[in-house]
Amino acid sequence: MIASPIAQLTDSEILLWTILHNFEALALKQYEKNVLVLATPEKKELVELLASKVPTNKAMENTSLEEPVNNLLTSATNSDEIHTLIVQGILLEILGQTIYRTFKDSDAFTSATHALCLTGLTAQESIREETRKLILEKIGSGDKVYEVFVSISRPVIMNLDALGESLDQHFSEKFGISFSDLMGEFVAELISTCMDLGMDRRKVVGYLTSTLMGI
Amino acid sequence: MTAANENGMLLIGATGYLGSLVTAGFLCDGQRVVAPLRGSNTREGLIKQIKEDLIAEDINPEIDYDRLVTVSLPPVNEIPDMATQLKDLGVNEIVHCAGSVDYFDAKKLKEVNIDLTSSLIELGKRLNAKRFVYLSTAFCSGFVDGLVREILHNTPPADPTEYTKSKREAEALVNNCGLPFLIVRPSIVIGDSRKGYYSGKAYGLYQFWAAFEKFICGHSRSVLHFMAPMVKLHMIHQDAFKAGFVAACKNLPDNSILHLTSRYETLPTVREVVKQWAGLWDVSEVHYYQDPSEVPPTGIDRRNRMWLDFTSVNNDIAAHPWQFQTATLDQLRTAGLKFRDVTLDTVRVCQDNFVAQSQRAQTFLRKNRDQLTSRTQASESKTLISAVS
Repeated sequence: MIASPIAQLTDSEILLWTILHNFEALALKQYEKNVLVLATPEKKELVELLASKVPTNKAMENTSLEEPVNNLLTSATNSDEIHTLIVQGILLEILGQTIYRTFKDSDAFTSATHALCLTGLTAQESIREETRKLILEKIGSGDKVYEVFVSISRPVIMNLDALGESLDQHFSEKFGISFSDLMGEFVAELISTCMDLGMDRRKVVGYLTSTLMGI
Repeated sequence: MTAANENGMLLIGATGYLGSLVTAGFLCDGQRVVAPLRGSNTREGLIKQIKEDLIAEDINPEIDYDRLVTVSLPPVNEIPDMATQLKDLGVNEIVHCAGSVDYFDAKKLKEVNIDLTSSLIELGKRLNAKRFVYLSTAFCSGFVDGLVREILHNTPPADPTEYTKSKREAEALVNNCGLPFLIVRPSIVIGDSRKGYYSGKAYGLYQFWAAFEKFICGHSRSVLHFMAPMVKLHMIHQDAFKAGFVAACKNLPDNSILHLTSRYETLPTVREVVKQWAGLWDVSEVHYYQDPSEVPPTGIDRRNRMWLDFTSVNNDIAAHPWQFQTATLDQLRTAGLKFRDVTLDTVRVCQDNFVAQSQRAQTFLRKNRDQLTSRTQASESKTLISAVS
């Protein structure tokens, strides 16, 4: 699908894509360093496109988003292959997928954002199956992958949750989508992905509950 | 810190929710408490926490804090080496209130609920402690039929969580350690019976409320779906927990096991508690389910479904028809223990306190009422048009 006519990103959209650019650029960097096969041409194309649309972090500087976004980026950075598969390969890809799917059809966004969302979804589609295969091969399935998933993902999910209030401050009214709406979609997709890797649904739900409820 | 010429107890987990209540209870009772602290926890922080809790409960916070001594808590395997230091401080009893409540993190549960308990038992032996007091849970029996008795449990057909299993295993360690012991098994602890004040994390009933606040309170809505079986919800107020724990330590003979829960007759059912909560939000359509199999696979929005998911483990536990023996608590009551049982009205006190503290819940309540008013007005207009035509 080609979005037409090509519109300019609004200021709020520039802020939104600045954040997403940070996560996509980190994902590509992590893939290139730790899991090269996931640094697909589609992923590179997305990051290059985002770099052309939002080349700097200026929109995010000195906002209430800067600190929680940086905390999340820091917790998502690691030189380990398994960490990258869990954090970038599962968590943040699912988060991106949730955001792109939700925004691509929303009238609250311009066609420029719709087009970027489609490119994002294509990039994710290009790595989804390979990520699943690699996780099963390198970590295993069921309780084995559950234990690794829990030990690695907790700080990242907590930092993601901590981002919620600031995201709502900046975007909720403008775009009519709240953080908890997105989290609902994200968690549903995450549970489904975890079950696909053989994890026990009850354990995954219990873990996500305790992490997101801060207990 | 002064060398003691009087007896004192080592209280593990003093900065946790239940541990701090117990610490406050013992200090108010004039006893000496030695509290090992770890990480960023400080004596000043613990005293501040105790004072806040006491003020919230309308108790004079100016108690004798010289009776509270804090020491540094070493790694688990080095805990038995604290014996000499603790003997010098007059410690002759261990009260173990620390624990992991992570439902399924087997590694963490083992580290905290099993390994830490083993290490403390070893310390108790080196101290020749007069008693080892262990804070367990009423639900450690696992899913068993009939009355849950105040005895050590066998392996049940099924456990609600890995947590309950680990608590049962820890109880067995305490029972077999050779030291005199007391095991205290509270049910779900909720806020203060008079004002509803609660300083714990979002456990138990508070998880239900906090998850609702987080995931449901965002957009106004006219339909809600709840799991709400018609079985008693076993709860205890934090003031009753504190009074019961201290009374048990003072009055019960060695090797006692105590269920700390409210009288069965006064407890509300899960359905009643959920209805009371649902009644707050002015939604026009509410669905209650007795069993998870009744929840429709479609037609529930994702946030409501996620909330049902997030409360599902606790819902499973709550749906079991628990019945706890309370003979030991009855003895304490007869001996003068003032213990306020949970009723639907006292849950309401806690619920009101929770909602009053939550900006998000207040906003949701306002928005939903506005929406309801406009929906009602629209509906009345339609009725009028229809009547005219």
